[in-house]
Amino acid sequence: MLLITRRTGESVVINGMIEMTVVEVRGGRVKIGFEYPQGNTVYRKELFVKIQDENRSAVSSLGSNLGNILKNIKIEDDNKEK
Amino acid sequence: MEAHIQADSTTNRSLQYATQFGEVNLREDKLISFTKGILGFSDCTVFGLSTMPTEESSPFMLLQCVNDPEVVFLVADPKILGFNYTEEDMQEAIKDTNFDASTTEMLVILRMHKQDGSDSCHLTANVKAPILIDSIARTGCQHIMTNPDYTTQQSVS
Repeated sequence: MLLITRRTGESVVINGMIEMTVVEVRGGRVKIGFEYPQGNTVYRKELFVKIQDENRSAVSSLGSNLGNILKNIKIEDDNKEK
Repeated sequence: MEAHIQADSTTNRSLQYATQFGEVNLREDKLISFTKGILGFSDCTVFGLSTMPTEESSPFMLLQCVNDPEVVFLVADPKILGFNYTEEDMQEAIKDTNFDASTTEMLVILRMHKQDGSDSCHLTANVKAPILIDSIARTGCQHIMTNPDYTTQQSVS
């Protein structure tokens, strides 16, 4: 892992287009600001991991008899009209 | 699950997959490119969207991975499930993904939850991280919504 020491207000630039700035350091918490081009995304890692886990669980939840189960699931008719 | 290529009558080649829902046919010229993969499945970069093989009017669809035939997602249009994103959140998703708003459709991934010791089960939809598909550009991606009101397990049945 690359380690760089920064003070409040100082930045790093990633790939010449993503700027990450240390906005505030207080207690054990750091507030970080990001400037990045449209079409890119920045997420907290725990959210990223949560979505990965949910996707994997979604795939593995589809058991062999699911086809029959789905036939018995009723989606409310009034929803279909929306 | 094995896939094999077969020429159909319209000369468009199609890929066939034996899934737990029945045989899925994907037209090669209708495949969708997910350049960033789907979270947790970074190697899955090509998918095809199929109606449910054995049902004529199902609200559900299958998002079948071409790279890994074992990977198939059960998906649906969130509106059909009674879930509507706010216009503001739709615009955020379009902006973050650089997709064309006029040709982009949104789908949500569904997950089955079985109750232990019984046959009953229910479905949840991941409305926190919908799938966006540009039906003209044939590109897709999964977008994580910043709105904290959206959950990964929204009850739909």
